[in-house]
Amino acid sequence: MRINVADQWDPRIPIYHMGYQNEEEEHMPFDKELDASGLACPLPIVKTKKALSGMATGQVLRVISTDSGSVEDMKAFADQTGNTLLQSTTEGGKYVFRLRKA
Amino acid sequence: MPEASNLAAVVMWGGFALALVFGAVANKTNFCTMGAVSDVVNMGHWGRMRMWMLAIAVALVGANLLQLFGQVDLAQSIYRRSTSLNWLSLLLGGALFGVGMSLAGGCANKNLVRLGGGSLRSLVVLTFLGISAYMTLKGLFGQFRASVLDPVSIDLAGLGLKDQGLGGLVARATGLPASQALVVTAGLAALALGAVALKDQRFRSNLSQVLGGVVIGGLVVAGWYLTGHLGYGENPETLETVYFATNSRTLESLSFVAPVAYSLELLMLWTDKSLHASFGIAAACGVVIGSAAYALAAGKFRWEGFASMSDLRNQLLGAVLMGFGGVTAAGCTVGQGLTGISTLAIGSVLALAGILGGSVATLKYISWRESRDD
Repeated sequence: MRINVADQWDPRIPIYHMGYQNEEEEHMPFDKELDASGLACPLPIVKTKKALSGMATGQVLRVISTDSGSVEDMKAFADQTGNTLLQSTTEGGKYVFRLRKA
Repeated sequence: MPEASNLAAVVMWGGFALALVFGAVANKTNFCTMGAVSDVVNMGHWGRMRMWMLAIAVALVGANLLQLFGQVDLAQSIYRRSTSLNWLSLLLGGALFGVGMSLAGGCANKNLVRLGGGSLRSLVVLTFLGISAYMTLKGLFGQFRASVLDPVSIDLAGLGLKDQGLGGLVARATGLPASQALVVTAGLAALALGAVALKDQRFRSNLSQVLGGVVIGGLVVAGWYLTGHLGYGENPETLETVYFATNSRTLESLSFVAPVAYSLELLMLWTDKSLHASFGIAAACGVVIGSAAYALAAGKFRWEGFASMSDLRNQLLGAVLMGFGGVTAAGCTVGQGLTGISTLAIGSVLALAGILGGSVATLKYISWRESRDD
């Protein structure tokens, strides 16, 4: 399941302005997506925990959130649980994360 | 007359300034009581809880140093002065506040910070929190609080105590003179909290969180000094020595539930000349503006609304519970958990225990419900 970023991509704007470091990072694959848009703390983390529990080691979860606290929360969650935070960025005004299940 | 209005202005603007710093720091460091509890419950992470403990430790030391050097009389504060310990109000109010803050994505102060960050959702939460709190101060809920909850109390005077201070209890139990008992109690509590907070290497190396804890605790101390020392003077009209510009008419420090209610009251009854801006009202406004200033400078400002029906429902319920609980327990996470605790009031310990209990239970329930649904 993939979102086609090219639909929203304006070729006049350099990719790094969209929050991605490079083209590779923007198109990094993921196995499952969790859209936690509009949910307030602590729901983004609670739902992330649940989503990850159903995944296999090495699989990647993409999380979308609009809660400003989720940036720090995801970092702490990754540190604490040993799951790797591959990416923490913004896209279209929302926070986007990729976590790899440990 | 100029002198009186000067002191009132000093207290008010001083409160505003302290709160500006509070709002900016709380936003930057993600200071959040509910977040601290959630981190522990959902991922066993104690970082933000340590920040809280450090803030309490600093507030304890600072407030009691001020007391020791005669700069303020904390026994006059609302947390200490009553010898009637209304334990049911404190525990139940605290618990309901804890439930409310877990439903509303944060306590009163967090919602003020979020409002500064552009959250219109928090604006709605704060409005209902304010209405509910005012109803509990003087309205329908207040009737229930005053006639059913508050009377359930323990008479501390009967136990030989002059006020609710733990120092007094220790003095009676050990026979130490009052000031020594105060030093021992405050010192030991602060040392214990500070040690637990700082023993974690990862926390110690997180400068933002350590500074955040220290600054926030320090702001509570500054509030005591402002209202309890600078703002304590002679009213030229009555020649009485009074505390200027506080809603409780005694010394205060940071607290956010009743002040939100009083802010709404002032806005709605502006032409009533008996109402004035106060330390509390200025502080509530200051947190919003301080947080907004930080959010705009850091490019983090974004408009936020409700996500869904269930989000709206939860946040409204949380807001009403926080309003009721915060007034019934005489304070919120900051009001009782930081400011009240810094006075070593027994009631504040009960209120904080209630808040933590209510929050933990609600967060565990949310987590359980999430793991069950599919």
